[in-house]
Amino acid sequence: MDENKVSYTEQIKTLRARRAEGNLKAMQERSKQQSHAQKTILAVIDKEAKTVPEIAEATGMSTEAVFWWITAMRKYNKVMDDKKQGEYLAYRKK
Amino acid sequence: MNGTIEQLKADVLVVGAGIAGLQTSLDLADQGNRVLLVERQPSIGGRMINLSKVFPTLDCASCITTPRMASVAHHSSIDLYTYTEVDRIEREKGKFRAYLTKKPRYIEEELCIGCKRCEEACTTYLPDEYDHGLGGKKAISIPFTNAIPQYPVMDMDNCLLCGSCAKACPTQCINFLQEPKTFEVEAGAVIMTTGYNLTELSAKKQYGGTKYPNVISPLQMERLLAPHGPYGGVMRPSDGKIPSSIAFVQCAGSRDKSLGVPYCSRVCCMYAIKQAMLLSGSLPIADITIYYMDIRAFGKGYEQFYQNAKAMGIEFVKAKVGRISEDSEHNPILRIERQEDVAQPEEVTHDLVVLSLGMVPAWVPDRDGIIPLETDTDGFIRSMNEKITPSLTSLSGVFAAGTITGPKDIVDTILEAGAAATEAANYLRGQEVR
Repeated sequence: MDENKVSYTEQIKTLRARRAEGNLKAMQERSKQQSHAQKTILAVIDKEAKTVPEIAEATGMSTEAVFWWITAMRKYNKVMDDKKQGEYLAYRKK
Repeated sequence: MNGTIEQLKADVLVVGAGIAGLQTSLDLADQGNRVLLVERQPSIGGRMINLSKVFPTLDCASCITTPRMASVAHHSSIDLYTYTEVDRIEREKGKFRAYLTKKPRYIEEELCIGCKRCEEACTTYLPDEYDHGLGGKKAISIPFTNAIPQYPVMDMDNCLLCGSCAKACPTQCINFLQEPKTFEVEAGAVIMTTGYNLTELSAKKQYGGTKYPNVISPLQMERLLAPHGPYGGVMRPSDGKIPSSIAFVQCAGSRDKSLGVPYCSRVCCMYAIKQAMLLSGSLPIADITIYYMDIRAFGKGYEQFYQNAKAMGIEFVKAKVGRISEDSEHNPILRIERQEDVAQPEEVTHDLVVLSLGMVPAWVPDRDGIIPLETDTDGFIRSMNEKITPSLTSLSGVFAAGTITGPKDIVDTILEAGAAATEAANYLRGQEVR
């Protein structure tokens, strides 16, 4: 097991050395943004279910971006469907 | 790249594991032939496994495709190579020699148990191509729920190299340094079943596809209608609104010389009618309109299907759609000219618009190489005797089935796959006699 752990460390080290530094930094920045978007949305629907336009208004994100993240987090069981509110479905944190 | 090239042998090499490739492989293998089936995607199933239901019976597409996928995967006479490209096929003393490259998934397949723990642990989200960008996936993920084989694929270009997947894997199957692997196949015959692509959503600039979020492709609508679709129901991509007015624009990628697609793609009328019927089932109070030039309901039961759609209240408007714009709420606005009654331009607003895109060949020999088969003027593979033996190509021993030879529906594709299997088996017997 330990040998494999070392092996993974070496593998990742090799790949990081191969990858251009700017590229890796851009990826790390994107990862931070992705994490921030998820946390922001989950904070809004933590206590109360909300529709996509309501979440967008609360977070300042576009409705399109909010819906994409709701869809992605719904797939990975971080968000669940709530009741229909007019023409929209409401979502809340799972 | 590994130094050694593994040598493989088969009676028939089948290229493409959509419904045509699956059916022709099963027919050949059931006759006792050894089949080597190659698919460039990580899973078999092709376009059909992506669909919700099929016309005109409205049978579940997955229920037809999944058993065939499972049969192929478990058949003792079929060797399956997924996530593998065919680089070229050469003719050699009455046989064929194919050169394959298996792309790295960055996992050891013999160790992977398909537990998805790597996918759960991954923190990088990407657009999911299986859902045509409507949903998200992780940078390491199993392509879809009923994918065969159930192995994840790592998108190394977008991997953060954080090692979370490797830490989560219970069998230590992650291999970040995995390389492509090459194979050589000797086969007696070849069947090409490489299928189709749809014309680009953005091809007709006047329609605003990819620019306007609520102008979508028919394959995106298939995903919205599928039971395990990205949204869990029919909603529009811009804001999750449940649409109350949906329009289909016919001939949005076919019968259009400006797009280089002057031919009719044959199936667009029927898939639009099918989707309209399914929508009226899932959204009973929604208004559904189909803007068309003329309806082509060519197959058994298709005209009745069309008449049933009209009886269900789906509105068929004979009109030309000149352009599409959108308002501040992302509602698409169609500028149309009716072809019946008073022919005056008018503007109509809908919540969601589907462009009925046309079919183009997925593989074009002049563009993509592999094997130099002759094509027709439309770019599809030329059938040498279309009326009697449609699966014969310009090269003896190479056969074709499905939409590789032209736009056609699933029924005709499956029939052609059976015919190609029979032609290939006859060809092999002829070679043995010589």
